[in-house]
Amino acid sequence: MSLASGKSSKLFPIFFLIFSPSVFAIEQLEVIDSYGNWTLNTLGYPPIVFMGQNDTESYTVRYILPPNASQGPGDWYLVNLNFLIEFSKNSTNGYAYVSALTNNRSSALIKFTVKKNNDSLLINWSERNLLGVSRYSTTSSVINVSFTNYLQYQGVIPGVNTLTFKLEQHGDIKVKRLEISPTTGIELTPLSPPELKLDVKLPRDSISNGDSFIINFTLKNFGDQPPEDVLVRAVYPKEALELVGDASYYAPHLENKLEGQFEFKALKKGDHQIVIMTETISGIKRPSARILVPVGDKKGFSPLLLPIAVAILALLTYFFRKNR
Amino acid sequence: MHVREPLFVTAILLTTIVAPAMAATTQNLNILGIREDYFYNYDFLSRTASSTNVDWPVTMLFYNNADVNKVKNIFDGGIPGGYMYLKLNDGAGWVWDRDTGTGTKHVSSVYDDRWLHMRIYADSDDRMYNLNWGYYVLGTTHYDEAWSESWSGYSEDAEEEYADEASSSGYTVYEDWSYWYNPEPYRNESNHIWSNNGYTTAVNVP
Repeated sequence: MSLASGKSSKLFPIFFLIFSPSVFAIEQLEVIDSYGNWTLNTLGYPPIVFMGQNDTESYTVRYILPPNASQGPGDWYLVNLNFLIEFSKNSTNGYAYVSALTNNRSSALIKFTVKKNNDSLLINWSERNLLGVSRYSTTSSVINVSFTNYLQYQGVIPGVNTLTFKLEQHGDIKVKRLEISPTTGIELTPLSPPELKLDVKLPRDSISNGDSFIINFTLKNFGDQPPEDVLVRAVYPKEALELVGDASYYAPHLENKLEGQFEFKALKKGDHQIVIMTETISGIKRPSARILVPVGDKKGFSPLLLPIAVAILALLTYFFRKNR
Repeated sequence: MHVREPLFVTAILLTTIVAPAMAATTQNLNILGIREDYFYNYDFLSRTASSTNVDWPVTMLFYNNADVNKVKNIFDGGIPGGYMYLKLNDGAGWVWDRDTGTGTKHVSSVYDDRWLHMRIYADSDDRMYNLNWGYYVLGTTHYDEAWSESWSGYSEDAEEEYADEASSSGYTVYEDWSYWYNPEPYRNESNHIWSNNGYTTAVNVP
């Protein structure tokens, strides 16, 4: 999800008055007004280091968004959270959270579960963003994390915004240090989250028992980010229909669209429901389509055809004899 | 801090599942949806999503920066209950989560002794995420009669007690924030005592 950094326009520094109990200070805040990754470095902040002295520690930086700033539909804001965390080898059992919140709305919550395993530590951690969840495990006490996620809607407001980093420790563990990398920051991008829409074309002709028919589908991604591990498959009554073609269609990354067709043979008369389903590991809406397929009696020799054929034959014989 | 006002986008009703009346049965089992996420508005006795297999209505939403363990830490410890199950979908497919709940808290009054109990649900990594609620988990609340568990229930009163406890611990609480289609007027079904106004309380976990 990362974009090439580098801003297309100049920085416009704005001077902002901050009141503190002891002094008045002038803080220079940067305006995030062009696409790219606005790191702590470019926002004018040094690396942030937590020493894990307290159960909860936090640090807040500030930046400015333009008057029309909002989360989507044109522009999207992401958090890029890169950090190193080191656990004390004296830790036993417990868990820690590293989170990032913009305007007190969280878009990063990394959970570390620590267990003492003989003399070493076993650390499991999970990272969940809008698109899914990733899980990791290590026996190393030092872990590097690189995480990206779309901010919450209420995490984006015009004017002065806050970005807060937070360390929470629970149980009998000790974080020796947490270093928020200077590459951490807010990314402004035109790339929207993936959005899937499914279009299904039904068979035109009426279907009789024994007929084959085709259902065509098109799955389009209307978002800019590609959903991952996308699968389209058909669910149908196996006693009534036989799937004679491909059973599923797969795209590891769905950039634009996935097209295909499911070919069935009708085995039984009646109204049969087919569901075309979408699956993806990305945490987005997965469209599906329900189709009711009426299957009629098997086409065969109609009992009416015999007298009609006899009548035509009789007429032809009559005219043939008359004209001879 | 108690607030009674609309806060942000709520879940919408997607599907209603109706069943004949039996013990531990509801007429209000629904699937609710918020953006790409879905969940049932009751938890279940087992991994069967049926209106004849319900335990208690979902009465609590912990949102913003919440996780199952973080939420359990808010409330007093104690002895957990048995497993119950909630079916939910964080946009990547339906899953069952099971939970024994927060440690139960002993509540004494002139009328009776009871345990306060809440089960907290999310999917396998103990939290869900969407752009409206951030990281969130869901809770069902009830009391159990203290000594022999001769009855269980009163979800609404239990919800209020958890709301008070969260509020007094410094959390922002939006009591009865949103209607989640699971009202249960008082009735006693084989000592399963239903009582819920259908409105869920939201707690901001920072």
